[in-house]
Amino acid sequence: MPKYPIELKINGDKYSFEVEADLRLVDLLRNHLQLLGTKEACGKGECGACTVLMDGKSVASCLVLALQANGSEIITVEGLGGEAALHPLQQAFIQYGAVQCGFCTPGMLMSAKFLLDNNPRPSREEIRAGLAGNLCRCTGYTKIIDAIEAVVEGRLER
Amino acid sequence: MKEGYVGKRINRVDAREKVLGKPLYAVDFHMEGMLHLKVFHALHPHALIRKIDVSKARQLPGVVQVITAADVPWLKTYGLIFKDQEVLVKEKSRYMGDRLAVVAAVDEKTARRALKLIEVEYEPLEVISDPLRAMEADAPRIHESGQVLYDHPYNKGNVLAIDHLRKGDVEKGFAQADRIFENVFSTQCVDHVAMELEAGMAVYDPETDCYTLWAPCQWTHDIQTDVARVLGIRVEQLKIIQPEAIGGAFGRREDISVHIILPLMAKLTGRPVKWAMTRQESMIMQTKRTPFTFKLKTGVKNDGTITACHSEVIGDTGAYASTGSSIVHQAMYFSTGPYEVPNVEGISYTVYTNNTYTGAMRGFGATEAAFAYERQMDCIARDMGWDPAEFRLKNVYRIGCCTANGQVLTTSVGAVDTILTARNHFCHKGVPSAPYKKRGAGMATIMFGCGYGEGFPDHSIAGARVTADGRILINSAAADVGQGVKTILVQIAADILNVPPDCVDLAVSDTASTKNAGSTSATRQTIFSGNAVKQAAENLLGKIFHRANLELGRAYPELSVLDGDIILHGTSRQMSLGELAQIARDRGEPLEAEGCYFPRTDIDYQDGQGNLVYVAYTFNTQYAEVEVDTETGQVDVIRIVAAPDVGTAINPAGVEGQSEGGAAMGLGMALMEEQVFHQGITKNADLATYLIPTSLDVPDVETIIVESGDACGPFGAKGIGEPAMIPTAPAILNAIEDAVGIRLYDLPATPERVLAALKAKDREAENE
Amino acid sequence: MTTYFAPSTLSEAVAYIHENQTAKIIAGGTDLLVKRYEELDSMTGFMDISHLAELKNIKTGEEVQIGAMVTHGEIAGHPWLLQHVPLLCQGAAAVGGPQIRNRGTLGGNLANASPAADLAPPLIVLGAVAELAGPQHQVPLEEFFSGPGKTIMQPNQIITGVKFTKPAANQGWAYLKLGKRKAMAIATASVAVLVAVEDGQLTDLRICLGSVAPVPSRAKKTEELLRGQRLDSLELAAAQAQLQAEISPIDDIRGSAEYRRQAAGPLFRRALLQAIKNAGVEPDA
Repeated sequence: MPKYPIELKINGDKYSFEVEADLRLVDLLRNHLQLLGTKEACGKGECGACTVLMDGKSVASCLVLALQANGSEIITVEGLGGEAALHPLQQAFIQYGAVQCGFCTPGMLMSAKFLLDNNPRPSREEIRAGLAGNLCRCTGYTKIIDAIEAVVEGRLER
Repeated sequence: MKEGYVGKRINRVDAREKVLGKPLYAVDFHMEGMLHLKVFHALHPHALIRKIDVSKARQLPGVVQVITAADVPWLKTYGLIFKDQEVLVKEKSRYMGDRLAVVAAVDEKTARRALKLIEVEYEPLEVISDPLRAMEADAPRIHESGQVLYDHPYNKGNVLAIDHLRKGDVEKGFAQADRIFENVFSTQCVDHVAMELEAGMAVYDPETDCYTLWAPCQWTHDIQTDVARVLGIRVEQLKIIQPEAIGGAFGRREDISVHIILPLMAKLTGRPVKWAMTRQESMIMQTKRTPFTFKLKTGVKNDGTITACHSEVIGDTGAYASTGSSIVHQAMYFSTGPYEVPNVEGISYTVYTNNTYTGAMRGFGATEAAFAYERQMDCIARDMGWDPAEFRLKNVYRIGCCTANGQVLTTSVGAVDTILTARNHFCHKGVPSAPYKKRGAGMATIMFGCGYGEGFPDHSIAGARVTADGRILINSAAADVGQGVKTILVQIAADILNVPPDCVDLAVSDTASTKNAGSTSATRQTIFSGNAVKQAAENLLGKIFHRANLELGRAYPELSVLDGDIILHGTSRQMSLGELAQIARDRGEPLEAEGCYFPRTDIDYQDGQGNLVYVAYTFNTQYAEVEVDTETGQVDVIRIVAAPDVGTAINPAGVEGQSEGGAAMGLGMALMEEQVFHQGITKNADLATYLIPTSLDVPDVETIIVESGDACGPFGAKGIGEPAMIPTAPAILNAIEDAVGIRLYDLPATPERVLAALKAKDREAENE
Repeated sequence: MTTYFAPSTLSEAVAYIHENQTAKIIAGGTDLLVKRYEELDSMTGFMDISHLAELKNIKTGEEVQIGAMVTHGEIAGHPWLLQHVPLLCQGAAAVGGPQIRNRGTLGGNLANASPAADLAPPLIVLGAVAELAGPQHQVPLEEFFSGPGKTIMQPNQIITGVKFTKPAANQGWAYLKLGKRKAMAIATASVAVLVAVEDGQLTDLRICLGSVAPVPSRAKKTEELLRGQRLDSLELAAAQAQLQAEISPIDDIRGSAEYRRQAAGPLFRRALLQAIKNAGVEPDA
């Protein structure tokens, strides 16, 4: 299998790799960088568990070849906020009970970030639409939407 | 509200790690030099296997090992109740998920390529996809030696079990009735769609002849026992380590998936092995919700009193038994719902087919039964001119009522409250958004028996101790599959021991260092492990007081424990729990304790009657409002109001989370979800064709918790996991009938079915 | 042996695909990579055109031109398109979820040739022409699809974009989609309608349906029936029946032929009325 060089920025750090043509972005993140927060649950772009930001846009990392991410900037859940300073979305997910099994959580957070980056004051319906590409089987979505709404309305406890 | 931590909305103990993406799920495990497994599945759902040739696969570079049944003839069969499942099939495939060979290779891609080099010759047999065909005497037998519980005239290779329920005199009951209602209802095959797919990793240590397996289990100790039996090893030779996070289960992780093949291949290859299923493999191979047919006959007096109920239930367990026969008889036991019926008779058949095998899924028969009895109740109410809620209130259980299983309810019966609460909160339906749309409101009230019941030796053991740094460590094998039992256990321990929840830790759960906590199923962990931890914490508190009394020389009433310190009243003296633990250890009596909850239940399977069949019953009423598009058949769910009676809410936010998620799962079952088989072959084995509700499909779910208190769980609690979803599907279909007057008997109510029923109704109207 | 090539110009891409006709052209990957488990291992190579700047332009004005590598998200949120060609924006917004719209492209949606492609019905009623490179060619989009997953493109051709005339002020539009759930659903049936209204008369209209035939298809007999009708006496029931008669749906996992036929009728009627309304006229029905 021929390998091809790529360079990209992931969570603020620069990396270069030699990768095979059929390696997907999700494999690069999980297997080469051990960024295991990004999950895979369908492999077909149907569930959103593998959502990351690529040049500021939410993408299903199971539907992006690693080579296609060449030159781009990737943010994963590990780059959203650190232990010391949780991102407000992360705080809200904790406080509003938006996490159950947690498998969809990283993808949900990344979709929520993409939504708020592009529309800082979404309505509840716009929040619903912003999460439409992320499946959750535990929560029924209500508390996830509550959490995002709390961030929008600045209702987080410090 | 009582001071303390029980009843408080504390944050989930695992939420912080999860929002950081840190916990390792099974698929995240990795070891140097590990091999990747892939499995070769049957090519035909019912066929005799003539030849399996793996020689080409073995020659592919990167392939380390390929095995078939011939290589491991010593393996025993497995299964949760009946051991009817082969690890690798030898002579016959019974469904498409049967395994013929396992490949171990240096990477997944190589393993996948090797699968394509395996050649199989087989002789197709008649595929039995319909349980009615399976029951016929001339149908080919799927299992040569059916494990029949009773003698019966049906196909003994395909009818796995027949169960009975008899209370009172059903003939007399029907004779007393003014009206008789007979209907047939059916429920579909549903996939759990836990977000995390089946995966795991195993290693084998030749020095000690011991295996270590990392894989999620709803019940580690049960899987450990079954796997050890299959492999022919002692139970202690296999240690199962529960991953720190599990991505949902919903019943699916009660059955064995990766748990036998991983340790087997670890030993055969001498290397760490990992196996991660794809969604397609998981959907074809692993258990499903059992599809059902219910024939219900109900006798009612003109004053609305139900006099008798007869039910005939057929459940399709698929190719293997799993817990099928228990699911099916539970569905039959529950087919009167939470209503007082003096005369009841029921019979159920658990039938093998060549469809994917079915097993536990949220509700375990009670969900399917509720669809039937709550549609039946609505039909009766409508036909007799009753308000649906009033008709239910007329018959619903109160303290002193006797269940269909003969159990007299003596405590924690909040059924009436759930109906009144949900009705008051729901108020009334809104106005349609278009002229061709119609609004409707529907309700459903259900009951669920918590715990295994039926005389099963159901119990949970937990430990608690004070660590050297003065923290509390809880030791419990109760699996947190996402529902939140870890948080509940921490809250209970914190409450008893009067320490902040963040001073309570949970030990890593593995089969070597924890004792049996029973399964995370049957809506039992809050009651069972909650009680075990409460008792362990109380025993520990007793030891703390005893030791403090000895060391500080003061009588018990002058002592208290607060926030990790022992306080001496009326003095400034105090001692930290850590110091006390240190002293206690030096004295040879460490501050540690155990608790066990082991209630007794009973049943006589001859007639399904017992005195204490289940330890507690959770009740739940939901109202749903729908908008039906009369031209396309599409149904929008506008609102869901839920009023579950949980006895006592240990963590109201957790109860709401279960209620909201349960309603969403019920909505999927009501309107869109169905695993479709055509001649035993799954037609929609991915998430593009098997649809579950998205954030745009699920409305806000409003939960009003009813606390009838006084249940057998800790602080009067009962469980909520399964009953959270049970009323949703019937409530939605009842709402559809309210909106457009169509009577649907089958799930799911797809746009296609709704439109067909609307057209049929129009035709009827024209003919009249 | 899977190879990868990312041309930096269109002419490089054309030259490469001419030499390597078995290479899969990949853009957003939202259709191609879905087949990973079934087919990816046997794919011999990719030519990745997702970075081609030449194919990423949206040219506005009387003649609108949209490059093949413009994403659904870019179309759905494009301010000028939202104002002047909202029909197309609505089609783009109906694709998948945000993640799919952020990657999936116009060119990919068309080249993949799903009968359910969300961009096809809107573009067809807009009279769009597909622009192909390799052997250069322009073809009305209506004639571009030749079957499920099939187009008239040669193996050495690349779709570079579409162009169409900006709808006139008296034109109205609608795109409606029927799915088994509200998001992330492949259409059970979809319909785009573009109407021109003058003096209370339906002077012209185009109707295109998705998912009810092997390719996205015009309902020309229905168009004929309605063309020239006065808005105050539209023969809606007859038009609906005509439309149901002229489509040729099939049974699949998303719905039966019978259901598709039944539901397409009212779906079309609603689209028609919405289109008339968008043309600035309040229809009676």
